[in-house]
Amino acid sequence: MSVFTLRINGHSRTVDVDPATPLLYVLSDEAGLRGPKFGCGLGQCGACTVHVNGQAIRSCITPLERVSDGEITTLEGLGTSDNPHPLQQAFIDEQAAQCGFCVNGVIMTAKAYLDRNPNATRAQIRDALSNVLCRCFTNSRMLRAIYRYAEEAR
Amino acid sequence: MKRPSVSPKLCADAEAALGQAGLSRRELLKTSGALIVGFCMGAPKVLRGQVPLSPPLGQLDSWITVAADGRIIAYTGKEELGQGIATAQQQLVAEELAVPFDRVTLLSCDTALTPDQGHTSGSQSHPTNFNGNNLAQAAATAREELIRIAAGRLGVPSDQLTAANGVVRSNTDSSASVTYAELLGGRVFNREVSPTARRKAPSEWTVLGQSIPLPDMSRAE
Ligand code: FES
Ligand code: FES
Repeated sequence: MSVFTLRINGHSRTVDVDPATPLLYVLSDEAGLRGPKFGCGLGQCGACTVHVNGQAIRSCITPLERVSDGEITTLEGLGTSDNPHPLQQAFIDEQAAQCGFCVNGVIMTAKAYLDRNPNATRAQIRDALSNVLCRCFTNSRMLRAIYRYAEEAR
Repeated sequence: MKRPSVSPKLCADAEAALGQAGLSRRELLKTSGALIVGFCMGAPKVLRGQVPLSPPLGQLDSWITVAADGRIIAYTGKEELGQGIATAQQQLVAEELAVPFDRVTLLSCDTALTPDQGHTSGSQSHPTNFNGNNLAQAAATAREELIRIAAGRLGVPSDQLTAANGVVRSNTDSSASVTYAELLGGRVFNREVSPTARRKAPSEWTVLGQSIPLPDMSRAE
């Protein structure tokens, strides 16, 4: 076990865990953040996506020690139910979820991509999202929400 | 301490005794959890091959209740999974019973209270509950039954009465009216779902066909 002081959503948090623990488990079990989801645990679906220094990473396959110095942002760091981020609001406006399990990964992946590529075309956005899986096939509504946010933010 | 089992189990003679007493399964469950044990001489056994106590599909009271205040309670065996079926079923019941959307409370998939409709899967919930039977037909039956009772109460033939907004009213004399609560509030229909009750045509719809946000995908503005 090792002690780490992490920066999560702008707050410091000290945890005492095995350094190889996947970041997802630390966020969920130590910090109580349930935005990132366990989908496959293999880096294949995207449900567990969080940002480290603004970059989208798959927290299920990321050992804590690799990112413990970074600024970690989870879905909870974007907005709240009362004050959602404009991208989250776009998902509400488009009713872009069915079961909702994948939505964390879709929003976090889209946000990191659009922060770096604010003028991305719709085709580029589709490409950037192509390896985030939605088991419910809600993709077209989600893409509508992301285009709406991207185009309104310009 | 052992916790009581979640699904109530009836032994055969308890079933028979309650059947003779004329108790519906739902009434039975509300009132007599402890009573059941008293009927059982030996160890309780689950009736094989039967889902204990699910309300029967053919009975109107299995699907629809008019509460004492006139609200409509609807019971369904098809569960919300984010696909919007709870909203759609609430719209369906509101439409057929001619009440506003918000005046319907939908109870889903409680094995003691709602009809057993098997799985919620394979895009089968709409075909099951919106086509010519089950929830849709129950709601249409309930509207016709309320109109039939109102006809007796008001002394006006059924075909001259219209149900709207939870009130049955004479088409020719608007002072002749009676609310659902006055007609049946807190009591049971005690009849079967009618296969011939008339479903509303899409051209008459005011609640169905509206796009209503999912309850957990909206927020207070
Ligand atoms: S849970 Fe991490 S990629 Fe699927
Ligand atoms: S909404 Fe269910 S997995 Fe995407």
